[in-house]
Amino acid sequence: MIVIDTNKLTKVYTHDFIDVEHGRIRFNFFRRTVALDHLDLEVREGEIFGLLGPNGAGKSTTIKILMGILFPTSGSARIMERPLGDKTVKGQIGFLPENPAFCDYLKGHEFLNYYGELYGMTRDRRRRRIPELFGLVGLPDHAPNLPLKGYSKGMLQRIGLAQALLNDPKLVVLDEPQSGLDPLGRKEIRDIILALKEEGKTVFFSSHILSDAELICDRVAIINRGCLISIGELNKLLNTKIKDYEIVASGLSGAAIEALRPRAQKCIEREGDVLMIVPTETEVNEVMRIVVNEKARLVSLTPRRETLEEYFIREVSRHAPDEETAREGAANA
Amino acid sequence: MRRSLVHNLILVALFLAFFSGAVAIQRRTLEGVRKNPPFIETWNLSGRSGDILKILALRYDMVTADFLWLRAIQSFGGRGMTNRDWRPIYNLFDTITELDPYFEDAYTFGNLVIGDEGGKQREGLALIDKGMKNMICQYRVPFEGMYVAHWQMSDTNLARWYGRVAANRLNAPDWVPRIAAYVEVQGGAYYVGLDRFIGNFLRGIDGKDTVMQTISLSKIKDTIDDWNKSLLQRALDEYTSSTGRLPARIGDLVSQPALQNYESASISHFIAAINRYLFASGRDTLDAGMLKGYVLPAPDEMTKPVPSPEAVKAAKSMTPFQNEIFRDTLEKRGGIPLSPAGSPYMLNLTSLGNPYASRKEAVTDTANAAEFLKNLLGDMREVIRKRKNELGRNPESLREVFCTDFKTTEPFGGKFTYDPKTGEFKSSSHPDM
Amino acid sequence: MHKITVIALNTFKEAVRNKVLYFLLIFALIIMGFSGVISDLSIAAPEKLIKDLGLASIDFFGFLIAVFVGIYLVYNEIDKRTIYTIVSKPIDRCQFILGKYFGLLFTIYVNIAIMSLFFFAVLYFRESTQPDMVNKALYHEITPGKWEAAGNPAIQYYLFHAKQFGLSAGKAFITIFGYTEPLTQGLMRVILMSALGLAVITSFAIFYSTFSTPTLSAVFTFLTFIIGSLCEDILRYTDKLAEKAGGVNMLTGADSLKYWFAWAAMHITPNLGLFDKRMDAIYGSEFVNPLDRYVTVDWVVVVYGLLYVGGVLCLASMIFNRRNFK
Repeated sequence: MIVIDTNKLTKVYTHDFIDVEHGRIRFNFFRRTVALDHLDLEVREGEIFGLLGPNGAGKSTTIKILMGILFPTSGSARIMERPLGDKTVKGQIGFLPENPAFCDYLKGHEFLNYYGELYGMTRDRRRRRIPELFGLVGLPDHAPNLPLKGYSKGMLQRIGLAQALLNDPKLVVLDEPQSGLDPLGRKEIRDIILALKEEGKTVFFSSHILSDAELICDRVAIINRGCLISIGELNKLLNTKIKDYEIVASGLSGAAIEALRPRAQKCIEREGDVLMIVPTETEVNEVMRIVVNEKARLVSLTPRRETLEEYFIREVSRHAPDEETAREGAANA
Repeated sequence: MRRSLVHNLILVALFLAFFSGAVAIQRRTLEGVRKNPPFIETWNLSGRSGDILKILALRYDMVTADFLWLRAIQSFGGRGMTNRDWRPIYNLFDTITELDPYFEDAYTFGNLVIGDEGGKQREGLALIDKGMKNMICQYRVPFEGMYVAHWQMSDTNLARWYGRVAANRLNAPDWVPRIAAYVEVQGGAYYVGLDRFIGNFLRGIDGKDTVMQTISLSKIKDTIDDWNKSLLQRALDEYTSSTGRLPARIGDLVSQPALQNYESASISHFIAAINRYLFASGRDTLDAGMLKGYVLPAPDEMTKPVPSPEAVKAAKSMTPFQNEIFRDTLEKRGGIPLSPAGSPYMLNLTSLGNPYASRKEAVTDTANAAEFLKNLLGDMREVIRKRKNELGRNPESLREVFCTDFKTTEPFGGKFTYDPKTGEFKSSSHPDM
Repeated sequence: MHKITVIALNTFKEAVRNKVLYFLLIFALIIMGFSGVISDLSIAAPEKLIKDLGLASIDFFGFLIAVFVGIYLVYNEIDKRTIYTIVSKPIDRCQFILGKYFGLLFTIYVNIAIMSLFFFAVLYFRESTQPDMVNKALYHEITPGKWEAAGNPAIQYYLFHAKQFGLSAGKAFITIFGYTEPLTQGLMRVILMSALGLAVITSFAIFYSTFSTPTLSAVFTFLTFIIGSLCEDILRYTDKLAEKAGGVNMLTGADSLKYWFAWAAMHITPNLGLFDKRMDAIYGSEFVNPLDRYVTVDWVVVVYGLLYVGGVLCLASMIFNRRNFK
């Protein structure tokens, strides 16, 4: 089943006529910004889908449209094969917005109870589910009785995740779930997302932290300035062939290092260790031979593939010039 | 720590200095106000203020009226309106009543301030008139108008008008029609007054209220008495103007036109009529105790049948028959009228022709005249006794007491006699008094 | 329905945290308490003064609460982005608006109940501590003309007042549930009618806050309140304009513009005068000139109020349904 399906989704923001910007009044007659330009996405059931892009690429706009917070200027989208705003579908979605804010006068458990009621959960279900969630998202023991006002940013992110998982949703939509968390927190969120996948849920999340996405995503879509750059399975998008090799060795003599230098792309000496980037397999063999002859110690040998980050930078910079012209064309139309 | 303490102390000292200075100045100005209470109409409201304030007050005009009212009370509380122009005060009350058209006290108090205190009764009554138009169910405002017109302005006709309005108001208590009827009688409208009192009496019967019956009956008697006396008064005027002298006896007036074939009421006819209707309706006739002191009809008159006995029996109350009873009470006759209390009318010869006595006192009845004589004798004897105490002996003559010849005629036409030996002062017609 | 209740209850929880609410409530209670003192300055009709002031405070402060609490409720949710998670839940946006409306209305009604309780208590307490009542309680007649104090008068005086205070509070409480004495006859009807009028004004406050900032909403709500209060005066004004010109069709230029503008204003804003029954209660409805009460039947007013609230909330939902939350 296709869980999320967008069709030429476009969003154009019209600015307020008068804007105060940096202490100066600015008139914006008919000034418009295209936030999303004919976006076509497909998210399949049971996968972890990452929506990636730099800041201001339109990730949040996409998610807000899907969640019914914004309405698209044109185009359409379907979730679980129903049009947007369908209440039975909304009941099966959990949503965590970016930098979530909630009714801060409520205590943790009151808040979850309130949202549980909005989901139409029965009293029994709420009573069973809420304590479970506090444990699942890793909130401290005093959290349920603490007003949300007293929550730290990380705690808010966690309780936001808790409210998204409240009704055991089929689709979990997370907007920048790891922003503002420490490395440990990020790992925990990652684990939760993986656990959700194991339960058979679909996870749709946006992020600009690519390393996190790389570790968990089944498929990703990369967007920039409202346009889809590429979409697909992660290992198909990235170049699978080995780009080069990284060798670290220690105990090499000065002559040996000099001998190695022309064979390596890069050769860095540090406290007796030598780090070398070597482009091909034959070169690796050469290097290995010298190392063995010198009776030096091989510390590590790592074949290097292309990272998502490199791919991302490559793709975004490749699309940038024609993106500019496309945007102008849309605005003129 | 220490620095902040000093800092705070300086601030407290400064506060005290500033504040006490301000309070001292305020106190001085207040003292000045007390010494010389100025009255300045700071709110010179105009005739249009009401309309404007009503809009400004949104729907809270009643509260606005209350605040203006409080101000009015405060400014008139101790000072009245001596030497003040009535117009701003009128406008103040006009504004209050424009904002709150049902504010009864504003009309009556405004009228009191402008009319009673300021002596501008006509202007005060303008406020009353406004109140009468705004409050169509309440008796108090027109009643106040009646009071002002009758007792302060002595304008009986105007008072009668207010009285009639007041008596017909929805919330008028039962005494209002009685007082209105009294004003009617005072104004010479005896038919109207009599009708009202008969109505009152019948309502007293329907309500089994004996107090009301007693009061109404005595009011009916007073009305008939006033009516008769007014006839005699007119006859007296006719006599003096045609002959040029005062009559010696009441009998002298019989031949005057005012006493030929006139219409008046008779208390005995009234009592008979009431009893006839009570009897026909199967109820107890009037209690004998209540009828004490009135001229009673002949027994056969009391039991004469009523025109339509079935209707009377069927009716639950007496009020439908007010017109019949009223008509039965009236009688056409000639000659000296009969007093409802039974004592015949006479001329009070003490008051007759006396320039200091009111004209109304000239005609009286024997019972009243005897009372009058008794009081007069008492007063005279007191004066003589005081003179005796001063002299240490009986005065030799009345001249020694009154410093003038004592020529007063006593009410019954006799003379006052004085015995210097015993000091006794007596009347020749009633020597035993 | 259940979801509307949930949102309404949460709105109530939010509203009672607003400090403005308490300032307004305390101020209203102070005014009512002082009305007892002020009434002593009047030589006549002191009770009228208390009732006037009390009923007007209940109405006016109810309105202020509607404005100052109401305008923030929807705005805050959007401004703080809490609306994001709420809108994504399986609820309709109009359910959200209705929930906010009923929550605010509930807040206002709780406040009205508190103010009414206090108002009735002031009335009962004042009535039961009139000097002759106090004297009757403190002294009793042994033989005609001879009076004796029961116990220490100073202590008895305070005891009596304390007792009357408790009694008045109790009486005031049950008055809210329908108990009346001659003193409070018809006052509950006035308060209920005021409450209905506030329901109308509250719907406007919510309506404005669905599309504008709090300040603008407050201004709009105040304007609606003013125009609604002056509805009848505006009618008279238009009549006067037409009369001066000799008929509606004879109006020209600026006068015509004024006429139709005023005509439109008085027809689209609610006539709040209809919900104002204070005059009836204070003077007794049978004494009020029938010409002053063109709508005498309560249920007509109730139906009118409910229709108005329904209409305005529909409009609010319509706007809110189409709104993008940035």
